[in-house]
Amino acid sequence: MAVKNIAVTDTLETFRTTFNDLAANDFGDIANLSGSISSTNLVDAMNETISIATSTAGFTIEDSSSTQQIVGGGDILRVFGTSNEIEAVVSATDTLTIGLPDAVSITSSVTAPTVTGGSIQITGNTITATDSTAISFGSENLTTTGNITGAGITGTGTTHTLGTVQISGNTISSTDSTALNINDGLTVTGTITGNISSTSITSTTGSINFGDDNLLTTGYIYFGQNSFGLIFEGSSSNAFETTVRAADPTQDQLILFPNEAGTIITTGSTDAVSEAMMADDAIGSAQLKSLVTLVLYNSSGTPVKTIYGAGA
Amino acid sequence: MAVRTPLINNAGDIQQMTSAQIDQVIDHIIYLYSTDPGVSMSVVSSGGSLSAISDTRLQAGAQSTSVSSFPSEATTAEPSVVTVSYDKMSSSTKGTSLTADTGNLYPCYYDGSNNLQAMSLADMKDTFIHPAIDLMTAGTTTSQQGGTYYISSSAGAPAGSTLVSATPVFSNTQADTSAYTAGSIPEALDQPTTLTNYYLMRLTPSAVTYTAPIYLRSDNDLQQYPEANFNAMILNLINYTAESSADGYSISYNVGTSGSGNTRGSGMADTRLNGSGNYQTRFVNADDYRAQEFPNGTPVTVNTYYLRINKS
Repeated sequence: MAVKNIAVTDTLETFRTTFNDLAANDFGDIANLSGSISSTNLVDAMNETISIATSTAGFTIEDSSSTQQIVGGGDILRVFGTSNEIEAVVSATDTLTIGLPDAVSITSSVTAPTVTGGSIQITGNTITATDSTAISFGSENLTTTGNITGAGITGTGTTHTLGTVQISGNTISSTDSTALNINDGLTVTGTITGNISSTSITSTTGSINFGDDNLLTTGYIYFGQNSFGLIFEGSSSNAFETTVRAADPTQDQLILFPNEAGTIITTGSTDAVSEAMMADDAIGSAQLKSLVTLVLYNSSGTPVKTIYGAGA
Repeated sequence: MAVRTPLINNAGDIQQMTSAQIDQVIDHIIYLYSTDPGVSMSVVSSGGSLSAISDTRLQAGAQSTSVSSFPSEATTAEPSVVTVSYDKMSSSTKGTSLTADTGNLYPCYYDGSNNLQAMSLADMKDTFIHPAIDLMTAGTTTSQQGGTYYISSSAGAPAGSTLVSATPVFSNTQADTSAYTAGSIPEALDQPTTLTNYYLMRLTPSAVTYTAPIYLRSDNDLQQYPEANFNAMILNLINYTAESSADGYSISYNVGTSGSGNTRGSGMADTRLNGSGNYQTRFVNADDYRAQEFPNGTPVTVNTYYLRINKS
């Protein structure tokens, strides 16, 4: 570093270049001034440095807990990391590098807008993969006391258990019960096979269509109050149906269909009751219209039989 | 105790008999009686139960002889009457006991209330039996007198009759005047010839069609009499009545020139020659003069006997 001298006769350009060189090489880049120096010009910096260097024998360090330690002149400031937490590396010249080890152990927490580990990135309450659309937990279990929400949950195993509900293949079952309870409605677009056990089956369309299948039960089919019953469309699909319903029972009643083929007779039937339908010894005289009698007497005039018949 | 109108089964309907149908039943009763009459007659050799009747004829008087001249007519014996008694007709009864009516033995009829009642014994007699016996005991010899007897002067049984016996019950004889000749004096005194034999016939009409009435069975149902049942019942009743009833309708027979009841068949005439004697002589030799009076005259009816049928 030589003295820079601008002659009177030097040109302004010479002055410029000399000045720039002076600034760049002799004074140095102010940007490179140590952060420990608060001064903003060389003279002040020098003065501040002189002041530091000469005002004390060392310096004081203090941590976040306000614990202070004086480092005197000639003392060695030893900087150590903590295993798996931080590491300090001294290198030439007069360099102390503070960093994190490859394996970091944080006792309490890490707070950062975004934390990236491998290709796993945690931002806010979001965990994403930076190199994939899927996050793999390997063979580990994923346990949460909260909820798992996703646009789609796909399992690759044969059996998946949610609480006591187990999904195996296309089978859903309960691990602690013989029944799987669905507290809400169940809509199935496909076909339900096997057994259905329910206390209530409803339809959003107002009817449940069993198609051509039979409806079998070894129990009862209950029809509720009001005017419900069986409705038969008949062979013609039109506005007319036949409804079978019960009058309001005042006690338990049993209407038994006999083990025979035939047509049910109603009060609307006309000329429908045939002789074969009458049980033997079943018709009393009270059922005859305009009752007439024919009494058979023996030769002593004692009635031996009365024949009842319908009158005109 | 009245004439009833029995009921019949008219193609499943109960209907009163017409008077014609009742008459048919009466005719059937007579026919049944004719097949097995309760009061029957027979021809016996002698000692019949009916009164004896006599056939008389003349026989020649005994011859008179003289060694010197013909005996005079005055001294020659007159023809005499020979009487032959006929007691060949006998009557007997079967000894029928009346079948007891337990209340439903006889046919049914409509009573005054249009109920049905079984006829009583008195009803049966009034309706069927007495009219039948009235017909049977009539003086005619038609099919409606079936089972009763009459006298025929011919052994050939006409249609509807049966010869009871080939033995005549009566023979009307008289002296065969042609058998007496002077050259044969002394002639046998009695040289009769039979003018007419009388035979006993029974009326045996053919079966008639009829409609059996209905009766109360033991289970008090109505039924048309089975033919065998009806025949047995009605035959028992007609025979019992004819044999031994005390209601004025028992049948009996008598024979004589007079008697109770209606005559049956031919009167059995006892005819006899009415001459006083045909004086004849015979010269045998000078020491043998003979005279004898032979029967002569014209036949006159001495008596006419009738078989009579009587109800009492």
